[in-house]
Amino acid sequence: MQLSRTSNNLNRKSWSLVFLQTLLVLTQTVQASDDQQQQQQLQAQNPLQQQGEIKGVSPEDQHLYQPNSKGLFQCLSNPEIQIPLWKLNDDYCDCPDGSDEPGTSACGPLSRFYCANIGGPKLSNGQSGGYLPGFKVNDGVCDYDVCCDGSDELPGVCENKCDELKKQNDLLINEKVSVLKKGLASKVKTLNKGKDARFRLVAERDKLAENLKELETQLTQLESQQNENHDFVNGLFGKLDSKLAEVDGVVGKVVQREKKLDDSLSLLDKVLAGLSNDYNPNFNDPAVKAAVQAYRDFEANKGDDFISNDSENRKVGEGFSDLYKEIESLKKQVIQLSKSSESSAAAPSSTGFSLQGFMESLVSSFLGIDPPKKQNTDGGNDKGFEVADGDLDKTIKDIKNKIKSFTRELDNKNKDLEKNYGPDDILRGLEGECIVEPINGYDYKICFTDKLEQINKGGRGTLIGKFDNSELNDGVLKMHYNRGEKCWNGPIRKGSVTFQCGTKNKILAVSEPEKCEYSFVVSSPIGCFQEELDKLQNDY
Amino acid sequence: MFPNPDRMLSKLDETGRSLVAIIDPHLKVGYEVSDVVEKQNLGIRTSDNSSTFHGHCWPGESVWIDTLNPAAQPFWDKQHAVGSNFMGQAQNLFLWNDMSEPSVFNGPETTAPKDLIHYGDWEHRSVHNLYGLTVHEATYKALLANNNNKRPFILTRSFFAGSQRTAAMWTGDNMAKWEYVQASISQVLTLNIAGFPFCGADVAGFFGNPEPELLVRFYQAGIWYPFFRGHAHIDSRRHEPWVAGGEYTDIMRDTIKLRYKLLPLLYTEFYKSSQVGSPIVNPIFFLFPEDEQNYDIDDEFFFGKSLLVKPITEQGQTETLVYLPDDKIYYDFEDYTQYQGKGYHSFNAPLSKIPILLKAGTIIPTKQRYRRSTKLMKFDPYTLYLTADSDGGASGELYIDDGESFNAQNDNDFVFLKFELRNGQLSSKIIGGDSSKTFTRQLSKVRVERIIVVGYDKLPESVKVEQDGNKWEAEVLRNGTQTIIRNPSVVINKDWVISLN
Repeated sequence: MQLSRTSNNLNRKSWSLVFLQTLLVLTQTVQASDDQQQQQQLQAQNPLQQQGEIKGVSPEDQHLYQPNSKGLFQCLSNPEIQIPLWKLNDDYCDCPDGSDEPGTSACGPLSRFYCANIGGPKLSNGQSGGYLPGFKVNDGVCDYDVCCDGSDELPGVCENKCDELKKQNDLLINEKVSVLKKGLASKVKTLNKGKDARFRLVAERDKLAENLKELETQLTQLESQQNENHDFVNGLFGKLDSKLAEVDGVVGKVVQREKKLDDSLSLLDKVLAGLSNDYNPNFNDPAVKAAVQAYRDFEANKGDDFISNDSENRKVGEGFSDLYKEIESLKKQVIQLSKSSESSAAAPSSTGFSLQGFMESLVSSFLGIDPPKKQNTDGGNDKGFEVADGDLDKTIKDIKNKIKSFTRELDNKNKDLEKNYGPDDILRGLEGECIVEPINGYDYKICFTDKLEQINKGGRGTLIGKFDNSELNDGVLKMHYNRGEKCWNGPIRKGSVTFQCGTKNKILAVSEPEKCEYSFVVSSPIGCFQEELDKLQNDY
Repeated sequence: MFPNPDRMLSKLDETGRSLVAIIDPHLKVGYEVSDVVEKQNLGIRTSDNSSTFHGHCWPGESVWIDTLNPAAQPFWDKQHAVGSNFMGQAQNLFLWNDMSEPSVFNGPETTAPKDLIHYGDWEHRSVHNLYGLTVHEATYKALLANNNNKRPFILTRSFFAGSQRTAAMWTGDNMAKWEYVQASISQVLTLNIAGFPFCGADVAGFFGNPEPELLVRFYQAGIWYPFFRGHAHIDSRRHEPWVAGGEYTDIMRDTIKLRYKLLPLLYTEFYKSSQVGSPIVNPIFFLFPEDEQNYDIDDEFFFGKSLLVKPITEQGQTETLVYLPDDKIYYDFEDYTQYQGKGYHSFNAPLSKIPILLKAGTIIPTKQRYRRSTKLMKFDPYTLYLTADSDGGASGELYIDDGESFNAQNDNDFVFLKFELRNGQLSSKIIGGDSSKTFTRQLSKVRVERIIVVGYDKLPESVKVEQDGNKWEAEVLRNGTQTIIRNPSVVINKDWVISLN
């Protein structure tokens, strides 16, 4: 194909010769008779070169393509590399940053192509003009999403669709604005519900905290009462201990005396045994005979329990230390007994059982002494001791359990209050709300602030996850659900719900981008944001 | 899952991408497709030939299409026809026939019982090895019935002598382990010399979760398989290059870009293979049979005949020994470091590097523009690598056709050219095809944009270019170790000469 310089079909105000050069290179033909170097010189000298627009460069950036003092182009990020102007957009990549080829694909992803898109819809940058990565230029694909004017391809490949796309886009924007307005109106209700829910939760939390405080105070009182009872028991045993020490002294003396007696006895036994064995019967002394006979009778009849030696004494000692042990254990039992009965202290005695009476009689009967006189002067104090001690213990236990469950509840409420329920706690406005949608043979169920489920038709639901937290990123609200049922041979299920602006809550799509990780897209008023509406209304 | 397949396919088509869907020979019982198979007796039959055999496979209870039965073909055609439920209107939908051994989950050795009856009263034992071939050939014919001027793409797991005519094949369900990337190279080399050049292994292992290093090294090996695809079991973590992230993803991106860069060379090798059955990846011994020393090398190969490649297939390895089978100069394909002398040479290979050596005396065609698909590269300019031999000579080839029709075979609508360097003259001569046909005429807009000259330092400031009686000069750029003939601007579908002196 021979390209004539006047046959271009672009109605641009001026055709850059640089671009012509590009086309010439691309369509190098048999008929091209000029020596290439001559062409290059010709173009470099042509004054249009300096005035022309560089293809693929925005009007604001055109000035960057002015030649330097030597008449050369300096690569934008590598000014040490300088190339003649005819090498701009000649479909060969000279600059390491791709800046010499904004209008071709020669530098691929390094360069970017500007398309003006005159009359086209505004792009996400708020302008009509867009930037296409260099590798999308001249590949035969009309990238209308960025370049509605079709300028990313050679002339004749892509028609200009800016008007058409602008109209489509306007319709789309109008629809979006209308949905946004409706959505935002209905979002207010959810917001208010959310605020109320939070308010209620805070009130409940505070009430709970107050109750807890009361319970703790009560517990402190009861526990101090319980301690007094323990002090009494300890006091009582203290008396017991001193009496025991006395008894110990007495018993010690008794044991010593017995030992002396024993020693005397065995001495006498030896004397008599000697007499019995060694006396001369021929003397026939009736007194000796009677004494020997009496001794022998005594020996024959004294029996097995007549053991008199040190081991017997040791046994007495051991018996006494056993007694100490018994008393210690008894002490413990008494404390235990009083603990388990103290919780009902506030209640009047139902059994008439008196711990003090019991203890006093116990100790008195043990020691064989008179019971101490009741210190009956302080009625209030006495009343405490008079309380049924088993009940006190139970009451304390109950209160402790109550405090435990209240604390747990308070903890949960605090955690829930800290949980991210979206801006202004809006997601609380969806509490108790569930939606279901049949997709791909399953029913998918979202109970927003509770859980996600995948339900087999007519069967049971599989838990995908429980609501955990939410995030708002770039105007997109997303809820996360974790700790679902474990997949067979796979991970624990989890999922997320991404909101789009819509007038009603509806599941639009469910996908499983990673095994057992479900991604829901839901249209809902809570996905509508005033900022987006403002932006749309400002931009269009 | 795919509510609007037609729209999805046309969306893919906008950027020149195709889709390969999986169709297996087993058909679920109680389904309109298998109902027809049972009613019309098109399935493999029970041993007493009394009814259609039922067995188990992916969908549960299934029957198996008996593609040995000629009557199965029209039925199979109908299932694959444009406008059918399955194919819709798409022109960019191709097929993969899996489980075609056949895999029968409850059968002996997980396959069909040997006494089942096929068409013509053949027992399965007699046709077992053939069955997979008949399945993918039936699919091939079905796609041809849609459009007899479009080359079908079929991938098959079971194959037999003759499968290479109509299908690509892969090595089956491998694992994401170092042993498997090692084995994949000898497997692919074996298949290549056995006449099945269009083969590959699942990158980066079908079962299991490769750690990033293995993932990277598997891709670095995988780009040399004539059939290159990433694939994994549904229970494996995703193997896609972007999953690993960071440096790993960067390396894999560059690795895959290299594959796309080398497609003109690969396509030329495919062409030659289709003509004479030559391997595309060559074991060393296949090209140097006189050198017994290399006979047991199965981890190094020639990609075509000019690039010597030794992928790293061991964990933690950053250095390897590359065997040079002759005394020619070999250049590191990345930085043009020279290696010379028959025998082993130490080669550094950090994670980002694949040991690739360009053999002196060769000219290879590449395309270096990054695009969204191979189809969009169709009219991109070429970059040639030229390495002169010690005698100052070099040669190479390039085959080009439209990549999708039978016009090359039926109408000579292709060009096959020979590059040659002799006496300082680099030339391109068309030695096959007809450059005045529908597609080859369009190649007049395709030029050579760059010639990278390696190991030839006699180049002047500019070189003289001649094509079709016209002469001009092309600039010579020197940048470190690289010497580049900048934009010689010759079009590819006509002879040309460049004087290097």
